Amino acid sequence: MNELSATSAPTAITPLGTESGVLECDAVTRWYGQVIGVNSVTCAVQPGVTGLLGLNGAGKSTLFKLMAGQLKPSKGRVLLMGQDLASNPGLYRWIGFCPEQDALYENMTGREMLVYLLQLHGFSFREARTRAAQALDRTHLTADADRPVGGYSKGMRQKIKLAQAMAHDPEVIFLDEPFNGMDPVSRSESMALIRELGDEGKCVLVSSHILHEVEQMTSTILLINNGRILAEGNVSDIRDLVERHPHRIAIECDDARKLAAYLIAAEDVLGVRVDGATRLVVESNHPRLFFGRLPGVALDGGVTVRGYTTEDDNLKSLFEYLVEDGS
Amino acid sequence: MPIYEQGYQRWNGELQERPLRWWPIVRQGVMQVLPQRKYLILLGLAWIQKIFAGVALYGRLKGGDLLEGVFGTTFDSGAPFFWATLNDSMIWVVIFTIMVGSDLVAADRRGKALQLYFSKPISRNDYVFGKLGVIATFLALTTWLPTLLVWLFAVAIQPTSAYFGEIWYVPFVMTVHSLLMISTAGLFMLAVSATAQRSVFIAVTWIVIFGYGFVPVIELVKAITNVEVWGLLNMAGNLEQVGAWWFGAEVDDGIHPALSLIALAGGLGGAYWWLRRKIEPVEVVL
Repeated sequence: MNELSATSAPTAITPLGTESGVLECDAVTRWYGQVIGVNSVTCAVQPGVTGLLGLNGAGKSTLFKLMAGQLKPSKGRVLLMGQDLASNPGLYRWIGFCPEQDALYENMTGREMLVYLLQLHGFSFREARTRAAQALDRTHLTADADRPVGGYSKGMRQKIKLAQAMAHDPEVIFLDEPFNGMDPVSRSESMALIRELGDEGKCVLVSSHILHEVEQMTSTILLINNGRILAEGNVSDIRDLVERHPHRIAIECDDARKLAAYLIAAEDVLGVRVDGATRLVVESNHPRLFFGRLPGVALDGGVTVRGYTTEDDNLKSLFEYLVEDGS
Repeated sequence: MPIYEQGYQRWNGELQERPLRWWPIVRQGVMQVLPQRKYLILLGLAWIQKIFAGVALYGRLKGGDLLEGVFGTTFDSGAPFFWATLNDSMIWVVIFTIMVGSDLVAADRRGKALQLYFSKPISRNDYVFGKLGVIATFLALTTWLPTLLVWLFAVAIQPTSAYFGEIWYVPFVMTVHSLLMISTAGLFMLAVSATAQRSVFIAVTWIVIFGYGFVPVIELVKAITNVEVWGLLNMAGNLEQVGAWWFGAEVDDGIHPALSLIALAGGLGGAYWWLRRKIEPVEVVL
């Protein structure tokens, strides 16, 4: 998976028939009436952390729910450890699912909820208590374990969902937007935990619409757009691709025309547009080089730079580039 | 960086046996409700009703002639008495089915908990049996169990072979009828609870569908069309007809109890089919 592939046709993390994975999708398609949610996705997911990236509405959650057996494919099949997931709830023993939406029992305490859900997996009460305690400890929720879930903050709710997804020691863990609403500390702790789970050999799929969030956990990503797998590969390949395309950088300064004159001379700058007396937009094909040079240029020109924003260093532009490259 | 074997590896660990996958759902549901004082009071009232039945039966068996002399009438202490005792519990069936059952599935749908349930190794049948078990526990505690104890009391105070020969089969028909009653009341409630979200609406809808709300309409239609078969739409009426038949009590001449039984089976099948349709981990709105 070193080469980045980008095409409008369905691709795979690992093409079926060449190397099988723990979880395999075989031409999985899902329609919602006349609307197609996921379109003929074929892939095989291996142990470790894999990031599923896509814009809102790209089909991430639908693909997740299909892979986790929450939705039945309109066409195709999902195989978990070689067995068809459809109508085979016994296989859920190996799946941990953390839904995007809150799906909690407000009146129960965090510990009670985990114990109950573990008992649904078939663990005895005593074993469920032990496993719940371990999961609470790993998600840093032990101190709040005996409080009703109804009083939990958004971040704590995310953590308890994460805890229930991993408490039964599953082989495949689906985490649908697990960091929504988490504070930076919780986010960092949860990312570390997800990396640990991947290092333990679990097959962890994390969906997100934020590239840098996924980058902190894994280098293996899968990009989904309009219900189809758009590209898969290493994050650095994706980064390189982004850098081959001109970046638009908006700069706020005290003299836009003066700074523009200094910047236009550099080779990494493709164009400059003065957008008012104090704002200019630069197009650069080497943003990292540009950002390294900018302070020096500003100093030489005697211009005060108040701030800058990259207008398109985001997932949306990345998808636009990939679609352009694939067509 | 860890390097993993990339090929398919079957998981070889031991799996725990899961003979009663629905049991944790029953236990959790019962334990959430049972400690509440209002339910304990209602359970107590249901049992007081049966204590009165036991006292009446004692009077009949030990002083039948005296009762007849004082009140000028008496009652049959055979199987029809136990049918009457069981049938008198219908008020508790209505109360507990509404109070315990109306939120059972609706709350899971509101809280999106079905996603969590069905990410565990339980089937939809396990879920349905689990939820039905919660209702069944309370209905059995207020109908079947106290009536069975009244029967044991009767056998204890009148240990004659003649009387036992008259009522020996009562526990069996009582158990079968209670199962039918609990399944019908419970499945209809779960089906409504899986369809609507507001408890009041669920309760009213269940009363209408279960039969009580239909009675005036059914009677009107029967009177206009002069066709008795419309009565089969009343599930509570069907239960009464079948129970009376099984216990050897007087049945309504209009409809044969076998037809009532068929109507109940159809109703149960319909409720289960609807319930299965509505219980999805992810609700797709088109």
